[in-house]
Amino acid sequence: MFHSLKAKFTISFGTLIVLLFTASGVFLIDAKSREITADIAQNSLSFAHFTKNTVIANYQQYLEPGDFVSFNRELRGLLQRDTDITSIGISSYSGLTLFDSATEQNAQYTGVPRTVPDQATLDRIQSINISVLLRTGRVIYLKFDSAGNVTSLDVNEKPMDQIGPSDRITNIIVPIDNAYSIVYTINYQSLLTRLALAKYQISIFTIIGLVLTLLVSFVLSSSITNPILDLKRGVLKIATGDFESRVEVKTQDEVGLLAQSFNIMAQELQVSTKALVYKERVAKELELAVQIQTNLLPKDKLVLNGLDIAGGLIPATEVGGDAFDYIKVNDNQYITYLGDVTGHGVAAGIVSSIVNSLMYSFRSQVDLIEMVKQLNDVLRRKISQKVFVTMALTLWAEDSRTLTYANAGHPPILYYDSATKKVIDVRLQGMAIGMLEDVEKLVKTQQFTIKPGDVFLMYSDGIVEANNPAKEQFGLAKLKMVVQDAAIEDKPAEIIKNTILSNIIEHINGSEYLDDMTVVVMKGK
Amino acid sequence: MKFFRILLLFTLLLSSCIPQQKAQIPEKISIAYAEPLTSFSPLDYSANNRKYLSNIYETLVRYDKTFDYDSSLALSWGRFDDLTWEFRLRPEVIFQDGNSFDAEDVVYSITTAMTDNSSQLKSLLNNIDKIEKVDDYKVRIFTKSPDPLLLNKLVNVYIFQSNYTDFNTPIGTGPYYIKSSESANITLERFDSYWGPSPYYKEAFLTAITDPELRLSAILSNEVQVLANVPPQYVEEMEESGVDVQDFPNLEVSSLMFNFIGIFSDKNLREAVYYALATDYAEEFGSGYLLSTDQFSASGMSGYSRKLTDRNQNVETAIEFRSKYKGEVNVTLDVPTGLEKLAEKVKLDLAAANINVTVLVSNPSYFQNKILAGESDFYFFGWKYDLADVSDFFETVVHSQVGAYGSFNGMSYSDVDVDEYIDQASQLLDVSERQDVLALISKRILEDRIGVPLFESELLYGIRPEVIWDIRLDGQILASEIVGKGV
Repeated sequence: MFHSLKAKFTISFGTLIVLLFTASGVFLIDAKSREITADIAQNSLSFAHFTKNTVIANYQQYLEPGDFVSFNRELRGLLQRDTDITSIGISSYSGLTLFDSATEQNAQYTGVPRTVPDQATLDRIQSINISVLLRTGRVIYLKFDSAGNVTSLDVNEKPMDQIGPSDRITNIIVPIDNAYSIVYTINYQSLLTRLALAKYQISIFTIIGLVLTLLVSFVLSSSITNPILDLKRGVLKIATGDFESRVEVKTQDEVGLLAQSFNIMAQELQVSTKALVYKERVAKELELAVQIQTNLLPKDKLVLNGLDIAGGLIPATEVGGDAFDYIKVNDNQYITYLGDVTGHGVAAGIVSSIVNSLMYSFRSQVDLIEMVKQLNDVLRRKISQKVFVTMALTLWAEDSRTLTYANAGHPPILYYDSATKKVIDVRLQGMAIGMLEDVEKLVKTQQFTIKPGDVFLMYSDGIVEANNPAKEQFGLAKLKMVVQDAAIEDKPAEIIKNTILSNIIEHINGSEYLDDMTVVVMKGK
Repeated sequence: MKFFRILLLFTLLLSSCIPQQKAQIPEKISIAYAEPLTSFSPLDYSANNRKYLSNIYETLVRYDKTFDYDSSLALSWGRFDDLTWEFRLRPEVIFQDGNSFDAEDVVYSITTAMTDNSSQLKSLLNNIDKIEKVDDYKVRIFTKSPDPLLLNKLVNVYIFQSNYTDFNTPIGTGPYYIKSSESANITLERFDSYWGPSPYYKEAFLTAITDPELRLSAILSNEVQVLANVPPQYVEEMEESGVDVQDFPNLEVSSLMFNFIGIFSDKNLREAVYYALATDYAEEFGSGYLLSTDQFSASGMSGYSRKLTDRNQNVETAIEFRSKYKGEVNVTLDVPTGLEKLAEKVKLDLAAANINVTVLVSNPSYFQNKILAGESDFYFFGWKYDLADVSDFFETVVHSQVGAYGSFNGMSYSDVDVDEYIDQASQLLDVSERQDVLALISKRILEDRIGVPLFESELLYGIRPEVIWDIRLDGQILASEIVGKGV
């Protein structure tokens, strides 16, 4: 029960109200008690002061001569004027009790002479000052000066503490005529009655207050917990995948704001979930695309009688724009190419796949320029004119050990001459495929007779432009050096390829692959 | 700027720590009277002497400022019966020589006042039968007859130490003791062991300045701070100088009294005089400090009655009453020295009613003797109510000369009923009953025209602005009640 916000709210406020009312009640009752006590004291003193002469006059007129009935009647009349005075007594200066209304209600006392019980009372009777006996036993003598000021004194007229606001008086003794004293006995029944009424009223108010508090706190807490429960139900629905669920909270308070936030969250969850689903679908398709593209690339090196060919590709993204292939034209001739589609990603990958497929289909041309022409025609008509392909192509003839090279806007291939043991760029005029009409007219070829140990390297610009963390490019010079070092050692094409790629990866050292990196190594043997 | 603020604050704090030089509070109060002290004896009953001695001696009972009884050396008192009074004494009181006060001292003092040859209080206390010690702080006084004025009388009885006989060396229980005295000057010093509140002034200098002009100059020059008996003619000058002049009823009534033996035995003549006399003598001769009255009792005193009607001058009525007396009326008006102008005015007023008056001005001694011998036709008579009760006038002046009564009855007035009322009132302890009887006597003697009340006098006191003091209705100047404004 105490886990519930409603219960906590209700119990807390209820307890608070009870405590507040109780504390207020205690304070009020105490203040009221003091006020009434002081009133009773003041009224009793005034009553004593103003009735003393009447009491004695009546005593002398009626009781002293023996007329008890008349005296009693007069005295009762006086007592009715102040219900806080329960009895009036008269004593002589010698301490003899002449009358006591408490015991002489219907007849005058006729027994053994009564005297005051103790010296302290006798002192009070024989004083010239009014005195009060408090319930605590303290006796205070009140001396009035000519200005009406009152001083509280002891029996020897030494100053003492005055009557306190909560002091209750047992009796007041008023001396009169130097021969009598009148004793007024006080009771506080009216105080008790009024306090009881006050307590009763405060109790009623406390109960009413408590009930109202419980009601209000219940309603208030409900106004908080109900929307929260609605929110909870909404959250559970979302947890089950129902992102269309919304919470209807119309309050303008924090809970309403929370509900609005929740609804916004649900909406964004819905959107992001759709996006996630789409992304997953796209990722799956991309994976398929990668798989397809990977299958299009040669899986292994090509070992011919006079030439070893090995190629490798590191894509910048899952699907790359580079492509290479070794295509058997016939038993004697092989076409090897490396193409680089502008951009990278799925679009470039699609184009490179198309190019790969077209090159295969155009293999029968055996003419590199013709192949470039036909490829250009297709790309110009079927692919966006913003997409073009740079390409380096070679045609190997086994019988003549010649390698014909054409360049369609691609970086020049590197040629390691085993005789000079040097690497040179073979620069050849060319234009990227798909860029212009009749691009073939801008493409030239060059033929090489391959000696054993000669190495030809086709590479994409991603190789030389690969950055290390310090933004330093791998560079052509370093590429040449790697090729030269590997060729000098007469390593096979596969090793040379791997050496180049490992050097690239080492250079990049964790940096982002900004472009596809492709190499095709052809080594004469 | 911040620095200067801090500096200022520091300076203020520092200056508040420097002990401030206290304003100089004078330690001495000087009071001037018209007459010098003539006796240090506590048994002296002279009002003038008591103005000095009341600073040194105390009584069992005293008056407060409103003439109500207040506790003094007696804390409380009461009656066992009509003849037996008990007084409970205040403990821890010591005399100015260090001896303790107790019941022995009270018994001795009162007994001495009753019996000593030099005591002027004997007739005042003649109704006391005896006084007994009950214990160290309780005494009982037994009266011969019920005495409603016992407390009033005891207010006048100073208490001194038992076995004290050197009455020229006053040693009392009061707030001041005599430090020195030289001719008209008495220096009192504060008694540090006084049982009551310690006086403000350490020293009180009491001096007598008989010359009115010198009294004026003394208060104007701050030689004295309180002046008793301010001459009325100097009131305006004093007030213009910042001196507060306070007046209060002196409880003294002045009347013209008739001798019932002789021409004024005829009531018609007495009525003629009653209506012929003006009612404004107080205004004409008092400089504003006499109050016209039509009763023998002083106003505000026990026995004064507002129910008695005012006297109005009516010359026609006077003449009418005069005409009922056949023959010429030639009478002698006896007045003491100093009242010549008043007497001439009376003479003039009575002349209008065909009453021929010869004014005879005498010195006080001759004047008093002539009156008490019953030899005056009618005379000016002033009576001061020392007990603040009209009964002593009735007993001493109105009652026929029987026993202790009527010792000042120069009128030879005698009325059995009035005498009986006076006897009755003297023993009535019930205040209300007694008041009724006194009112009856007042009415009766006015109706009998025993005399014509003329005015009651006021006493004037001058108080300098440097001191605070409220005058007392009993006329006493208690130095212990004067405080300085430097408090």
